[in-house]
Amino acid sequence: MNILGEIVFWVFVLLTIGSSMVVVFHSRIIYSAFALLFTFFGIAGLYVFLAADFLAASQVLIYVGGILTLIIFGVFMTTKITTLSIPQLTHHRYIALIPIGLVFYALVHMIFKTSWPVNVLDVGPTTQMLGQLLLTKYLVPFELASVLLLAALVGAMRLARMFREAD
Amino acid sequence: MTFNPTDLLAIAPEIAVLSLAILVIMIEVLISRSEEVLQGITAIGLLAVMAVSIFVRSTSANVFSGMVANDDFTMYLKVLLTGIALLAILMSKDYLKGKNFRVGEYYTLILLATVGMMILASSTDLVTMFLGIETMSIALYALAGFRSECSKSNEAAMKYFLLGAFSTGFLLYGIALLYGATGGKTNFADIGIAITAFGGDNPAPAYLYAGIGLIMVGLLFKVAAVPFHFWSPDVYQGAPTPVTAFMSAGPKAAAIIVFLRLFGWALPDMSIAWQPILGVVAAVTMVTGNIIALSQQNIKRMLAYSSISHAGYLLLAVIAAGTAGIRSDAAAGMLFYLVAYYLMNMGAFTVAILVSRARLDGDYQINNYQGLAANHPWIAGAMALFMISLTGIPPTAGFFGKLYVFSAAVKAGFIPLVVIGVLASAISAFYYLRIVVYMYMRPETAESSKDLKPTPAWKTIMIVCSILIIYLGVMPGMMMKLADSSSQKISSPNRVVTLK
Repeated sequence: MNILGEIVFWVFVLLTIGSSMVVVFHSRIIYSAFALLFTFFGIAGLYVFLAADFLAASQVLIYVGGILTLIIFGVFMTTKITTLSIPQLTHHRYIALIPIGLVFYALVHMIFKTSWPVNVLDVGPTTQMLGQLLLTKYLVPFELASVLLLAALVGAMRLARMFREAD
Repeated sequence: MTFNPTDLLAIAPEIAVLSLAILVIMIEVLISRSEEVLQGITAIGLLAVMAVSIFVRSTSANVFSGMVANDDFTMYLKVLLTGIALLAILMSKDYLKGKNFRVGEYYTLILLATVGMMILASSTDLVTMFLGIETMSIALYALAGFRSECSKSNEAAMKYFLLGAFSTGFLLYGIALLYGATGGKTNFADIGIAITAFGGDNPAPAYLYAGIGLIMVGLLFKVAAVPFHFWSPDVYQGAPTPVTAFMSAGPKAAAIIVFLRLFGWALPDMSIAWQPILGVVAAVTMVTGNIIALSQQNIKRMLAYSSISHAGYLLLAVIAAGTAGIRSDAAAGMLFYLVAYYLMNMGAFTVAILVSRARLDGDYQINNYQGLAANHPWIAGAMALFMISLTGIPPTAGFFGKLYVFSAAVKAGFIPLVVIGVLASAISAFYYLRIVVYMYMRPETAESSKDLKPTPAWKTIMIVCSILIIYLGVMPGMMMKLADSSSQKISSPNRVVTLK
């Protein structure tokens, strides 16, 4: 990777980590929601570095364009949520440090112990290959995803009507 | 590689259940909202699906490039899962009456959960496994919260959803790490081959272990094993009782089967790493589940803890499957155990619905069973049979289920675990047989002398479950032969697909 690419890479890394810290630690939910925008964007950038062009594009489209808009609308439509201050300190946080520390140690240990493959193959545009795979090898999962969505749709419809009837 | 239309025959049962789900919800919208019509169509449809599962077969062992298994073992599982859905639906109609439910949605969600379970039980690939788990779980989250007027039911749905979503995160993280560690394999058989390459100078990477551990956490949550069981008593108590019965039998069966397939068929070479961990989990699950069940006063919570301990017994079969040469024994034992567990659990929940309905406030206290035998000898007799079978006393199906699972574990050399299992079953006798004592040896109360008014559907369930439990307990030979012969030939499709 050339020096310019290196710089862009680290910009994306810092963007992702920095904004996800804001998501977790900010006490106003609206700030967290907007910070999530930059997290998703940063991750999309990292996908580009992994030569996953389709994944990066769909990350921007689905997460930034769809899910995040939904979250922000949800925040807007909830009364008083913009002024709501969410306590960031939780109960038993010193006890929680022990398992979290162990998990953190395990992850760091794992990252440094593993000899990660460094060369990313430049395969060019992946969209065509993905499309072919979805309709051949991954045909069943592809169709199953629609069954999953059907279940979610019927369940959501049921829950939504439940609240309307309760009014 | 092109699409082979005859592969569709292998997933014909799933397609049939899915079509039935769509049909039921469309009929509710367009033609009739009658409970009788909708339940009748669902029940007849499920009987047809059973026939489809048995008679429509594809001969190819490798369907859809190894995404799902196609063999006798899988076929029996599909029949079993359809049977679970069928009994849950039979149980539901009279329960739903007067509760102002949209029954079409209810039946559709049960059918969609069944599709998820069937996919899960037949999956031989991480992708289908994940989609199966999610389809099943999402339908169940909505079903758990179906009694919208009841705060306990809302709590159950919320708790189940939040913890379930969290466990999905673990599962997915684990799948990603396993995918990375095996060089981009998702097929169980391919993963097994990729793992044989490790060893000696080429040690398995640390994140392979992490991936296996995280997948284990995700699956243990689904089967409600200790320490990932906290959701299950509250969810079982809050959900509508037929849904609880369905949840305790179906999803548990589907999840434990994929556990067996993944760990026994894809990861046997890593068994040194996972067998001890699962061994500890199984021992703690068996002991904890049974001990907490002792102090329960609510029969739904008691059956929830009992189903936790049964997950522990089933985990013994998963552990045994990691030992070379034992895995088909373990699979056969598990199939038998699941059939037995399904029958006795569905039966017990049916009696629980009956008894609670006749009570003033419809509660599920165990005290309600006092003196039941005096007025309702048949119902009390059936309940006693279910309890004896759940304990694992011969001559019932529950005894042979435990016997086959335990003997597979003994063959694999896990004798201390089996000793713990037997002791835990002895503990379980206290709370299962307490109900029998209440029914037969306590004086009847004004409450318990009320007529329970069992409807034909409930009578049918109790009769069918009792007869089959006794049949499997007295003559287990035929079922065992089916389980044995089918588990010998569990397909493990093994074609490495290369990209051009």
